[in-house]
Amino acid sequence: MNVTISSAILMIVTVIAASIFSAAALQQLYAFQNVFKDVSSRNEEMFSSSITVIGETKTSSPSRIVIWVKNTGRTSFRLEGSSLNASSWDLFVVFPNETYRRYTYVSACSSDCWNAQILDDKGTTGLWEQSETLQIYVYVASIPTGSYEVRLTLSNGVTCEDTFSLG
Amino acid sequence: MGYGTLIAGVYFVAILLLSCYVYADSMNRISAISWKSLEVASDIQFERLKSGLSISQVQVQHGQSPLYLDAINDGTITISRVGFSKMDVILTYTDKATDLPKTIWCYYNSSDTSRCRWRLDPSFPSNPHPSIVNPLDWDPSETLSLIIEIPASGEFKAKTSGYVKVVLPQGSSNGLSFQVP
Repeated sequence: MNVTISSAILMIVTVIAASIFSAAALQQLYAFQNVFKDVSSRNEEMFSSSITVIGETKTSSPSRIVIWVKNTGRTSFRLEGSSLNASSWDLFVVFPNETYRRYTYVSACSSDCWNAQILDDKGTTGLWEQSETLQIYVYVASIPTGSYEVRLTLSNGVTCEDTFSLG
Repeated sequence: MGYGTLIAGVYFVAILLLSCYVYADSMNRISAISWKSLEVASDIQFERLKSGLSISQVQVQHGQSPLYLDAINDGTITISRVGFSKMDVILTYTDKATDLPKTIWCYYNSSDTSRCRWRLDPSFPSNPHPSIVNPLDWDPSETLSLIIEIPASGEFKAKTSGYVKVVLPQGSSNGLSFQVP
């Protein structure tokens, strides 16, 4: 009788232990799967993204460097209104004296920042879609004559850069 | 061996099998997504490499006249009519009023005369030309003739040079300088 009760108790304990273990293991397995799925989706977005600088110029008043960047990939980007918008992008300018600076996106920019507009935005308004061109205004204190380098990095890590000179 | 051990064993094997399934499923999904991603990345690069243009001629008659440009599709892919609006024309010229070089991005088929704008040259019965196949699209070796108009307030300064760059939807580009008589 005692042996039967002991066996029953042991069996119940074993089943409970196994259940707890399996629940914990399953949770971890699904977490692992979700991480893989997330990484794959990010890679997919990055692989299908491509941007190209197609031209640069300057304006005198206000003092701005104008950069045209074309979306040559298949991913669209929103400038504003989403969590991953232009404020999370990085824009660096290397000046002729070899100093460089990162500018931040400010939609109503007036000095030491940048803003942008999608040219001929015929698709979804505010969405920088495939083959559309973005006109970036970098508001700078002065534009000395010489060679410049610009680098734009989007929130998914896709980068484009170009070297140009302004007279 | 009691029932408890047996049940625990069954649980263990089940978890092992489930782990294998989850792992295999994850790997399968990852490889499928990665394959698709690489395919897309390759497509983007191939399309860009296969597209190309060469500006054969740029002409301007006088300060206020439009700029006439001929470009040959020297790539191996067709640029569809829909894609024309995704092309970029960037023009650099010396403005007569300010005597300073000006670089502007030109809009396609715009009626706004305050902007730089470009359109297909209507003087050709078919444009792109010669149009043997796909009459509306710009096929390889065909020529596309454009008319580029600077803002109405502007004027090319005489005896100066300028530069025009045309960018295809895929990002390939070509530029050519021109002289204003």
